[in-house]
Parts: sequence; C-alpha cells; structure tokens
Amino acid sequence: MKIRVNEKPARVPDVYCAADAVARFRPRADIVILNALPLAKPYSEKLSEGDSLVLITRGEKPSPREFEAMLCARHSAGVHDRLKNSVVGIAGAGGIGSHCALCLARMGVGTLVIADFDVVEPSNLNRQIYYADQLGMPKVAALKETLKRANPYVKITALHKRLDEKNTAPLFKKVDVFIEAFDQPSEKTKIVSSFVKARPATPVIMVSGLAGCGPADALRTSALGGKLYVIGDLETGIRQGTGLMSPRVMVAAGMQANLAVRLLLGLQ
Amino acid sequence: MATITLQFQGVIKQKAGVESLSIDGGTIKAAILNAEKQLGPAFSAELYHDGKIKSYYMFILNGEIVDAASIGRKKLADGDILRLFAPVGGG
Repeated sequence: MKIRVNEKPARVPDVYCAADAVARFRPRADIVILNALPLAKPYSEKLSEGDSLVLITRGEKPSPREFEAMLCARHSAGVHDRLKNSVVGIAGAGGIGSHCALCLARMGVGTLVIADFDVVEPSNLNRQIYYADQLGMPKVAALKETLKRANPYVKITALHKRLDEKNTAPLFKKVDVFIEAFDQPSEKTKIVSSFVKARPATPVIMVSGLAGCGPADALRTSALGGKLYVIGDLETGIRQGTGLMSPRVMVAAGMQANLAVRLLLGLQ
Repeated sequence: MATITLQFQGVIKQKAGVESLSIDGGTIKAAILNAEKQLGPAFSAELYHDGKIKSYYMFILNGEIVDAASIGRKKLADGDILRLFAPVGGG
C-alpha cells in the first residue's frame, strides 16, 4: 500500500504497523506522528492506505515539512494553513511584544513584522523574553534570534527603528492583524490612531492596564469599536510601587496573541 | 443640537462614576463640556492637563477614531455613540 513518510510517498506491505515504519525509515525517531496524532511507544498502530506518518529525532532540526507536520499535529491542518499564510505586525518588542511574538511564532504564524528602536537592558530581564547574554543587542535582533530557536521557519521582518505617526502604517502595510505593545500612553494613542486611519479594515489589538500583580483575571478583552480591541484591566498603569511584572505581562501578551489567532481564524 | 450616548472606558469611567450617559451637544467638544457640567471636577481633572484635553485621550465615534484636533468641528447626530478612552502606561 502507499503511505506518506515525512511527506514523501512510500510503498509498504499491506500489513504494517508504525513500529515497522520507524525501523525502516528512521530508526532513531523518538517522535512519531500518525495522521496528525502523536503516538506513544511501542507504536503498534496498524497503518492503512494513504496514512501520513511523521518521524522526528529529538535534537535534530526538523525540515520545514517535518516542522509543519508537527504543528499540524498540534493545531490541526486547517488552523495551521490559515496561520502559516498570515502576517502579524507587532509595534514594540518589550514585555508585551516579545512574549506575544513568541506565542505567535510557536503557533506557526507565517510572518511577523516587529518594530522597536530599543536595546536590551538589565531592567528588561524581569519580564521580557531576553537573556543576560543579549544585553546591549537591539531588541528586535535578540528577539529574532529567540523566535528562530522556537520556530526556525517563521519569517521575521525586524525593524530597528522608532515608530511614529508617519511611518507606522507604511511599515505595517501588509499585516493582517496589528498589535500595539508600546509603553507610553501618548505613543499608544498616536501609533494606533495613525494606523487605524490608514488601515481601517485591519484589526488592531491594544494593551492597557497590566502593571503590578493584581488579579490576572481582571485582565479582559474590550471592544472599543470598529476593529479596535484592547486587552487589560484598563486602569492599572505604571506608577511608584506598581511596576511591570512578568506574570501579568505574560497573561496580557498571551491574551493579545490569542485574540490575534482568533481574528486570523475568523473566530472573533 | 443632538442627543448622543457618551460611554466611558478605563480610568475616565472611574472618575465619571458612570459607564455612560445621555448628553446633548452639536459637536464632540460641546458634548464633553456638557458632560463636565454633569459629572463634576474629578472627571475634568482626569481629562485635562494645563487646560487642554490630554493628548492620549481617544474619541471613538460610532466605532471610528476621531482626530483630537477636530473634536470642535466634528458634528454629532441624534443616536450617535461616542466612546472616551485613554490607555494607561505599560507594555
């Protein structure tokens, strides 16, 4: 019968189990995925005509096809195809932007456009996805490095520049969803207003109210009108004694990424 | 003169003490001035800095963002929904 092994056609005996295929095609495989479902040892599942088997060895960088097969196994082919062909823009690569980007890269979003003018500083390490050995690097370069470790095939446009009312819409002209991840209220409003004016049909997800360590479930998604959304408790800004802390920042970034995925999949 | 619904989100909602109110006004600016008369000094103190509406306030009229510079000219119609929102710092 004919099956596919790592996306390539293969002919195998009519009575054949996954373990037989592992022994023949990749004996060192320790991740075995049959028709998008991960299998457990001893891989005794019987194979049928047309089955798709993916065999992966831990520690080896998977090929693009193998990587896609893994994402399909986790997310389903329909979700994966939609996300793979999507472009998400992220304005700001601080706590929110860096975490959000990592969620989206792991989800298999095909292209990320990320802009930030800053470099990694020691004070960022309490909540942003940067590491001590990346201090001094432009955030977008450090983030690109990290994202590529999680998803070697995500396309990243890393823009090391300061966004303003004039350059934001042109720089993000191809995005399907725009994520605002800035720090200062006046910058948030300026950037979002200019983008919405130029691209009213593109969904925009802002963030507001995530400082401190108040209840995480106070963070919520609010619709502001049109295709504009905001994530956060809307009230808790940075002030003396209420700084930005990793857990709430990560929750808010995760909510932004989740909303972006829902919008891309047409679920919102 | 139009009668519109003015909605508040975020910190300004706290200061207004209500989620929304029905208000008269021919323009966005006029509607905001009328709201100030009803809502008192805490509302105005949040909205203004040095006599001007804070630059980061967003005016969202029927789902569309209106430039802060044009709120004195933007005409309102009966039944319009105007949302007032300002993001707080952190990202």
